[in-house]
Amino acid sequence: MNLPSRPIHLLYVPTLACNLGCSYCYLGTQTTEAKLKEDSARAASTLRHALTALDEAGVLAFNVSLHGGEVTTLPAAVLDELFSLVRAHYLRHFDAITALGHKKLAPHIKTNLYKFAPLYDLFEHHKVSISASIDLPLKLHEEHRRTLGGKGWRDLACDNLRRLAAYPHAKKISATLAAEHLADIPALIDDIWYIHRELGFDMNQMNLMFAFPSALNTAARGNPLAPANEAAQRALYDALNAAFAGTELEEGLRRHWFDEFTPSYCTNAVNCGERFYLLQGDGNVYSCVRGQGLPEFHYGNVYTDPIDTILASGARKISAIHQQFGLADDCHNCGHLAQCHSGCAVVKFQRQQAKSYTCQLQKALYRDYPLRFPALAGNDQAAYARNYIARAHPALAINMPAPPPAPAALVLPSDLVEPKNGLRALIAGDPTLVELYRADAWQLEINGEYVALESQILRARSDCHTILPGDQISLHLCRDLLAVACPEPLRNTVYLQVLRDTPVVYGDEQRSKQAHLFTYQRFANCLSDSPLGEHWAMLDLAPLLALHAPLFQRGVRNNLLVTTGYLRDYHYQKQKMNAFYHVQAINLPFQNLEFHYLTDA
Amino acid sequence: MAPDELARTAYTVECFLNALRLDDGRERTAIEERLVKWLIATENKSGYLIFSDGNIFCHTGKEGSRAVNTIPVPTASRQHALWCSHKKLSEIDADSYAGNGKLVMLGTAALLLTLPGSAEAAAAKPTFEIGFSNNNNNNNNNNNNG
Repeated sequence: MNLPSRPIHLLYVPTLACNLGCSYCYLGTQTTEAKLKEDSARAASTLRHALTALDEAGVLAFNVSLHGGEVTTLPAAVLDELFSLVRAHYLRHFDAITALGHKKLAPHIKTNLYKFAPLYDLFEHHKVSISASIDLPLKLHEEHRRTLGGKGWRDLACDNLRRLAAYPHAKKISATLAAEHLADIPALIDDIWYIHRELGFDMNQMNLMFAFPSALNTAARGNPLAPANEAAQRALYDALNAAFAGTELEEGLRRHWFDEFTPSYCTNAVNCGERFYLLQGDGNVYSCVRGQGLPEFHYGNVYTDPIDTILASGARKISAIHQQFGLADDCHNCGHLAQCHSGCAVVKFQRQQAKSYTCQLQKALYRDYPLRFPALAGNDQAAYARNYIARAHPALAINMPAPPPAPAALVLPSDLVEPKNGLRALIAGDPTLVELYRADAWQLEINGEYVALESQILRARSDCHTILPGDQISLHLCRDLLAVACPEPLRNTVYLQVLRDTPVVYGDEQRSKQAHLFTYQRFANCLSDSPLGEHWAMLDLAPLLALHAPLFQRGVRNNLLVTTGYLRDYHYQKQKMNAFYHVQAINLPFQNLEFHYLTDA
Repeated sequence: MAPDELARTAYTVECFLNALRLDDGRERTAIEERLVKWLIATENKSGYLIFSDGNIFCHTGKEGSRAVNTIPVPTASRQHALWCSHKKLSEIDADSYAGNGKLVMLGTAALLLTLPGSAEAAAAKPTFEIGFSNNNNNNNNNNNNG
């Protein structure tokens, strides 16, 4: 099995069949035309095939949720196998999923609760997490959420909500709201309390959704429910805040009820097609429940298409939808573009509009939770918008005026960061530089203790020594360095520079640099023998430092750099020849020691 | 201890406290005196000090040994850890030290070993730093390509 590298969210719809005929169903006639027997036969094998294919493609489904149709129309044995498959998947990828911050171990199912009672023991056995769909106010549940035979079942729904209240594992309720649902907000509020207090279900665990126009629903039923407009959505938000602030349901109000309109949901992804997928029992892959059955949101089939192709198709199709509808001017300039990203691609397609259909509601949430959803302003907003447009709306980006460059912006060649141009790579490719930068060729002896000197631009540590006039200080170098880049070693020198950390500004760059105190050269044949061996030479530095003692200042560090005369020349020749080397070796690259010289001890 | 060694230790500790940006005053003097005495009293000069997160930790022996004393210096404004023996200073990686006590030496390029507020300190303070080297291309061969 490959190590998973790409996490995705997978909704699995083993059947489109449903035991209800809700008036606003976005699946249209698909729920009645589905062949349950055929779906039951392939439900587990399709999921097994898909999960295996994802594994082999290095894709990790960190969330596998079961969705309908109505999943509970499948026989219990099929459900049992599906739940087992999902649990095994989570356990197989326990480490990777946990590393992503998820705690999934139990299957999750979306259900209308119609068959909850007979399946209760099976759900409990698998610790299934349950999300139940209802209508609010409940009187509309009776009106719109009817059986295929056209009968209402409110009493059974309430009984099953009581059962769900007592269910010991994860559970929540969701309610999809159209304009009609918001016509009587007091009744909706009353029913939230009724379910919470009378039926015993903790309504903190609820989330709300808003219906939107659905072509399939219109084709199937002709007279769909009108969606709630943005003013009605805001009116609901305000009414719920007024009714539940300060109550035991305030946490739900603040944390869960409007969670779908926050950045954590697929609706706010820059491109949901890169991460969210819906798999059907027939192997077809769509964007999500909203795009199910629409060719524009069909990404492929796991039985006929490679996973990479399906995922790429998803990203491409969603990108195309967002580009098709463009970016509204107020979205372009909105401080919350970074949270919203202009909303759901499917809803844009269904409504033929560029903006999120819950924009005003989202703005109310952003207003009320400014720390969770901070607004960008000024240059930050403009920069984010530019980056977003360049990615999500490239056709717009190419026609936008380029942003003014920052006055202090560095203009660097794009190939500066290529690995071959890194300083260490340049050194490794040049035998003379290898010698120049050696970390084992120079030793400083301080009162009998040897300190290996390294290039000041390569080393990861540096000591700043406190040196006294009476200290014994000798420099030792490998004699073979004197022959590097030098045709006649006799003409070579040990080249010392001592700098003081009192900054001076000079040169065309007007850089602040350490002040140069003195330079000293000793010819090769004037070096002493070193106690380190015949391959080493030595130079006593104590008299040299004592000679320049008046130049050292209390509280100011000094910098001794050592090389040979010919290696120093080579460094500057290399700078002329190679700009990448030049810019990275802009500071003296030689071996060094930093010190304080305490003259008044 | 020889007078020179005492002077070396006192001076190094002075630079250490300067680098912490510890203001002059009676409290600093007391800390300085305490640290110098402690360093010269440790066997074989094996004592060392580490500043980290507003405290000076006094260690003896090998790298990674347990601190034998701790001196809070809440007014120190230095962000990063700093290491000090009787004769030298080094900058260390604060996160590494806090995590497992293992020293990871860095350069002293950003050390402010002068007195707080001095011209040198102000001039030496890096505003943008990549790598650990000092600014010092003191040469007349600073030609660009071409």
